[in-house]
Amino acid sequence: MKTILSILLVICGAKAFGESKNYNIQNQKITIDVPTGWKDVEDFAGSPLTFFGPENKDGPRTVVTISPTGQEDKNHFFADMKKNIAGYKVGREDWLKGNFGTSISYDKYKEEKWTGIEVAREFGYHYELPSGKFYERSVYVMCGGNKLVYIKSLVPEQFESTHNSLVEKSIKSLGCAK
Amino acid sequence: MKNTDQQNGKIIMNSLSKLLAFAICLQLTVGIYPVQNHMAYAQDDRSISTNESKANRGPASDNLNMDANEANDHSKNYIKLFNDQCVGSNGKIKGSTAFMHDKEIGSSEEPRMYNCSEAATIIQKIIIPGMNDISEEVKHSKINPNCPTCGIPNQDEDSVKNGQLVSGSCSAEEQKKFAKQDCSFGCNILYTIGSQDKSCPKSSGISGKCALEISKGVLKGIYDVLAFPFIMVKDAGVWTYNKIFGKSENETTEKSQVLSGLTDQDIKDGEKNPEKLKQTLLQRSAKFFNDLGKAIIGYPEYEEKSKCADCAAKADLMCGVIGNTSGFLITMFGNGAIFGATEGIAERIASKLVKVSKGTGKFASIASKTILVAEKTSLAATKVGKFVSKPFIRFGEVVASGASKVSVSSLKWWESFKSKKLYENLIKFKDSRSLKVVSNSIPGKITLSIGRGVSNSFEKAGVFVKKIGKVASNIQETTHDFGLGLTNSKLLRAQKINKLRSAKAAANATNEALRGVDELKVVKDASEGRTAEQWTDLKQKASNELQGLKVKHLDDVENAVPAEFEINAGKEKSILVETSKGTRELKIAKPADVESIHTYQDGKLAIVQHRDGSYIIHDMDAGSHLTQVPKGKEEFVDALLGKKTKNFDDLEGMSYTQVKTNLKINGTKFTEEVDATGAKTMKIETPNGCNPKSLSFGVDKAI
Repeated sequence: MKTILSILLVICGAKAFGESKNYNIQNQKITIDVPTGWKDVEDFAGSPLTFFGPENKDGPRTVVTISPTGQEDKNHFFADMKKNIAGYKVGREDWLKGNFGTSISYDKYKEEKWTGIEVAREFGYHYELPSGKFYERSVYVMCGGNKLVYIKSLVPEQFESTHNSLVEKSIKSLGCAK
Repeated sequence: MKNTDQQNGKIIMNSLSKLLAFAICLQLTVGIYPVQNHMAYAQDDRSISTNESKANRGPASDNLNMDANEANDHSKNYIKLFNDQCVGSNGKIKGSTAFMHDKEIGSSEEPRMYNCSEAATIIQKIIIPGMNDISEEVKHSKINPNCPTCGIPNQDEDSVKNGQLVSGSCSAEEQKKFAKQDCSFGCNILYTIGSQDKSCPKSSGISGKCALEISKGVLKGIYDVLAFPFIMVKDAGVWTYNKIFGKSENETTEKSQVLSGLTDQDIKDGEKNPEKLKQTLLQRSAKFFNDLGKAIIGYPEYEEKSKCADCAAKADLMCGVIGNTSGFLITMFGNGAIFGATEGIAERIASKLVKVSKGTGKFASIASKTILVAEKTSLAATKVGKFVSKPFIRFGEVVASGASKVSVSSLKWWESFKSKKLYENLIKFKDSRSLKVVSNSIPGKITLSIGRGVSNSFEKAGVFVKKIGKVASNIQETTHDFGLGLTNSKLLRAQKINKLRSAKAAANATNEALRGVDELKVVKDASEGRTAEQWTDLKQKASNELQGLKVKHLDDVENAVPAEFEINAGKEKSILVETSKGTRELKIAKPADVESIHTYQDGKLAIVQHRDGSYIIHDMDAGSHLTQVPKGKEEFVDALLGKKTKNFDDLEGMSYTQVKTNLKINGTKFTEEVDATGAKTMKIETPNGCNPKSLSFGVDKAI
């Protein structure tokens, strides 16, 4: 009985989470789940594919941008990203300095293998701007034959508890055609 | 005179009627107000003038364009010209007809061009409300002109610089007396303006240059952020962590921040019409400045204060108004309109300033002087060092700071500052949605901080920053004791602030800023301003002039884009060019001589400009160069690349031949006369045939 319930929950949860959609961007076919109630917009203001979280009347909304770059990492440049990750913090601190912001905390660098994805390199940080607190995450995904897909998510503090997991599920559903 | 006034009145009323009809057609809900007689205002001006000697006004004495009468006259003139040029016999406005007016209002510059539709908008949104404001000023103009300045004696900039200050009536005792009679201690905070940021050299204070940077920053921020594509920025054609963790992450963050500030409606608009989205954001930033302006100036409360029922509050308010930053921002964006906002708005603010202005001086030098006074007067008494406390307001990278003044409450200035309307307004503003929305949309471009700094030099002022939305740090408390109150008379002498000059600076800044806007517009127009036929004609003309070049090589040249490039470190005589098709190698004899590269035809062709100005067109697919542009024909390539002459001002300083070539390229008609000495005068036709531009070339430059 417990097992059946668990399966039902998973199915219902999956259904509530979102819809799998196909896109063809930069000659790269990708599949990714769009959270329910979120807007998916192609080629908008310079962003190849954007997921907008629900509108927030009082401030910023969650945004995820998915950018298939169409570029292959032939020389395995990104393989040593971990060694260079200190540069990320330096870069972010510089940016914050120029934008009246302060960092709150940095994520640990992660390398993961996802279903159908050889490697996803992830890092991110929490920061504060005069307009509020944010959690920003960058994910460098190699898929579809070592092609780089760059994903950035920006989640305002007030949505972290609900949207972080949706973003996680969504980007982990990414699939690329070879 | 009376008849002329009546005629003017008729013309204006006719224009207003037509404008009103136009506004209704456009379904705009813009208020149109009656123009009122400005006699009372003129009287007010005169009463101020009696208190200031012309000698003391120094260079600012020719600053007559700030006069409210003149501002009103310009506005009327603008409307009259609009009526002449833009209103057809059928009473309809000829929207796309070029409109030219005879003078840039608020400056002595050459006019800029608009079309009639834009001019109508300017009149509706700027000029008429501006005139109405002046009328409102008139209503409330019966104030004691001495009140807002608390009797600060007039000083000109040179006097302040040289330390030859005119003795004032505001010694502590005298001020008490004065306050009792006419004013109060509301003047105990006077703001001087200075820049503490490296991007704003102190010599320029917060005048045009910095203000221009703000406005450009805002506009560029919007355009850049929306326009740039999400790409992984490379360095010389290869990925580097420096670029990825720097530029790439920065740009994607900024883009994400902008996107996160959009509403559903913005997204809907942006999908259908990206340009509309840009305009929405511009308007949003305009609202920001508008609200900020209100916060600083206390407007519309200002109108009530104008009655001077509460002299102290008014004085304080007006001292706040001195802030050129606020003046500029308001003049620039005060009406919520950006394009063409210079028309009249500068005068609106200037007029208000004129009413209470008496002294002159540049901000930076005054600020320095303030420090000097602090050193001289306060150290011995306190034994804490050369410190001076300053409240400040920071807009993005520009800081408006104030020196603590004086007065009886001396060290308590911060508390005093906090108890005043200006602070209250700013705090209200910091919680406004306008600030949040815009700072979400344009990260880093618009920020506001309020606080006070304590320093031992002007350069290091601003140690303490109380950021908007943040709790004050304890630095505020620990440094508070170091703040020195300056004696009344010394500081007053050091703070001879010429509001007229400030107003002029604000007007100039506004005009400069608007030129910045125009520049952006021109850049856009460079590719879109020509019709297909004009492009064909221009390309044919260029092809005829460019040796060995076929017209087909110029196909799509109107869409040529500047390309990033790097010398290929691995090979000799080769550079790597970023194109829409990725990084491409271009073999070239002297890579170090390359100045710029534009690519077109989807990255197939590249026009390479060298440091000596010469051009070579390369076929990157074939790996060969197509043709070299003959010497002296570079202007044709410039024209093709949109480096065409943007406006008549650009022709100033050019030789006769250069002007002629430019006009030829742009298809502008002109006539010329040669006098007996060989000097030439060239009359250049304007699009609507009015106000031809005239350029003279002495004998030495007539070739």
